[in-house]
Amino acid sequence: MRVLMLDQAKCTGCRACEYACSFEHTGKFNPLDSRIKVNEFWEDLTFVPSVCLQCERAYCEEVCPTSALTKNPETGVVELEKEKCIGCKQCIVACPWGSIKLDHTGKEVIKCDNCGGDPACIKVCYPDALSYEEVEDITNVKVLETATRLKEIAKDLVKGGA
Amino acid sequence: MRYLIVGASAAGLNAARTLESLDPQGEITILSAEEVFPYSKMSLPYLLSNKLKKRDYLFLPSPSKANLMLGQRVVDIDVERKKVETGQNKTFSYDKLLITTGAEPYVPDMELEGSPLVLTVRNLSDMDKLKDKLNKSDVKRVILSGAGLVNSEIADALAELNIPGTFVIRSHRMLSQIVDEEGSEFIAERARENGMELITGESIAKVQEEGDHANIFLTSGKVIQGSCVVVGKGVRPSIDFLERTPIKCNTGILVNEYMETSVKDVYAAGDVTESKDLISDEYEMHALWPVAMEQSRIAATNMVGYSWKYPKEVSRNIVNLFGEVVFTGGISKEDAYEVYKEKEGRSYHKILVRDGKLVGFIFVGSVLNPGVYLAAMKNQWDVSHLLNEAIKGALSYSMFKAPMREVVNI
Ligand SMILES: Cc1cc2nc3c(=O)[nH]c(=O)nc-3n(C[C@H](O)[C@H](O)[C@H](O)COP(=O)(O)OP(=O)(O)OC[C@H]3O[C@@H](n4cnc5c(N)ncnc54)[C@H](O)[C@@H]3O)c2cc1C
Ligand code: SF4
Repeated sequence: MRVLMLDQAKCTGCRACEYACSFEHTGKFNPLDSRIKVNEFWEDLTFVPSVCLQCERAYCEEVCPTSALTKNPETGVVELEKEKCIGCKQCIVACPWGSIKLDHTGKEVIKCDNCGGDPACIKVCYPDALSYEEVEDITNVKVLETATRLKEIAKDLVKGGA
Repeated sequence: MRYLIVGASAAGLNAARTLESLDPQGEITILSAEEVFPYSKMSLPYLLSNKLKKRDYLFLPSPSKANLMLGQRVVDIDVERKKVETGQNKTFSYDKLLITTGAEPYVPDMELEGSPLVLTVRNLSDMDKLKDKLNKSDVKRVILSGAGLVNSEIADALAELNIPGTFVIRSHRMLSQIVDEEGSEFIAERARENGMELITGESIAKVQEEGDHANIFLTSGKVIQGSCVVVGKGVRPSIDFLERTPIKCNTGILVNEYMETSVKDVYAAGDVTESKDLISDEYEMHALWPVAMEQSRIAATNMVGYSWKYPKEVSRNIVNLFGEVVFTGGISKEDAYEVYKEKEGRSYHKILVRDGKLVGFIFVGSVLNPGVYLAAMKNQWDVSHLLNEAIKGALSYSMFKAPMREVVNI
């Protein structure tokens, strides 16, 4: 199973991903129709892309009265079946992160679907802040990252700092 | 472990799903008073308007292992012997019991109750009756007694079908339970534009059948005609069958923060309960679909043996009315604490702030991230530096830096 990975330190805030996402899904370049959002923190000059987490037990899925939202057990993606959607917007209120949202008309529900397994956003992310990776590989990377951070703390402790 | 669930709707089925995943060895039985397979009650107005493209989409996901028994209405519970009894003369034993019997419409005027021309909308059979009346009557107009959430949704569906409606409202305004006077006026404007008539400060005295329609006599003496009357004056929890039990009730069943009732091993969730409100800190009914889902998940988790605390609840509503999205939360109908309002064209925004925290809001028209508003209110995040964004409907999750590291209550 592959998931979208974000490396916040690498994001330059160019927002190419937002345009690519919108174009892939609607044929138009409108950041309001993008499923991925780049959050800008100007005071710290940092940029943080945020994307649907495809929750294990997703609040949006639980609350959908028509089962228009279901988790695909193979890909792990919480999928939206438009035909079944009545537009009640329960899912949008249920997501505390704002990851499932309305399009620019304020009427239609849109959500990240990993572009069916070939995400458009990663292709335009030149600094490689976004990637699409196997869960196992990510786990290894995370273990290493955490260990590196703990090593720094341990070093400080030995020196009597921290 | 034997789990028994009384009531098979939003809360009952979600609890079954949770139990199935947390205790695969458990034996789960669900009893439903209704004869039809469980369906989503909140989708009924969408069935009327045909926004629900197929009737099949109404039905809730079928539990994979639980034993669902239709047509079994529970009439009594013996909490000592841990047994429930149904009107169909069956008894069921349990180790852990969950009550999710929801609520029923309340018809305050006794005279109206029982007339075949007076309907309420709660069950699928009610909606089928309404559709039937609309088909058969020579007058299409529907008389809506009360302008609460359900009747407003019915009116919206009628407008989609180009069927006129008349609200007869005693309280003078629409949605008086969730919006303030100004908000009501914004919605009433849209209602009128969409073929709805509003008669305020009046109620219905008598309904008389005449040929293929109904004559409706108002308290002022005025007579109007319609295909039928739909009464939407709120709901009352279905707790009659608990009369002989020691389970503590007020208007609804009182539950503690673990969703347990005053009797051990008996839990309750959904519209049948009253739970602590975050803003008022008092017991209130939060008869809402998403609340039924949250409460049932937590109740089921605790029935398995965990001790999950249910965070205090807040009222909230999102509904599509006459082309506008109406999103409210907290103490929305009042003007209390710090009040900020913004009106522009067809949109009306209001936020209420107490000690820098959101305690209420109304958005008629656009709001970017409703879920973030709810999370900000439920978790009482500081918005004092974000008032400008908040009133514009533009709050986003990333504006709150600290909460990233905390557990987020949904
Ligand atoms: C027309 C309509 C529109 C709505 N719109 C919205 C909306 O927009 N947003 C929102 O948040 N909510 C909405 N709601 C409310 C929402 O549907 C309820 O909050 C939700 O259904 C509550 O679920 P529940 O499982 O607690 O109870 P219910 O759905 O009421 O189900 C309880 C079940 O228990 C059964 N039962 C009762 N007594 C017994 C007994 N003694 N033995 C066995 N079974 C019994 C009943 O037959 C029923 O099937 C709407 C409701 C209606 C009717
Ligand atoms: S808006 Fe559509 S997808 Fe979202 S909860 Fe309602 S029916 Fe489900």
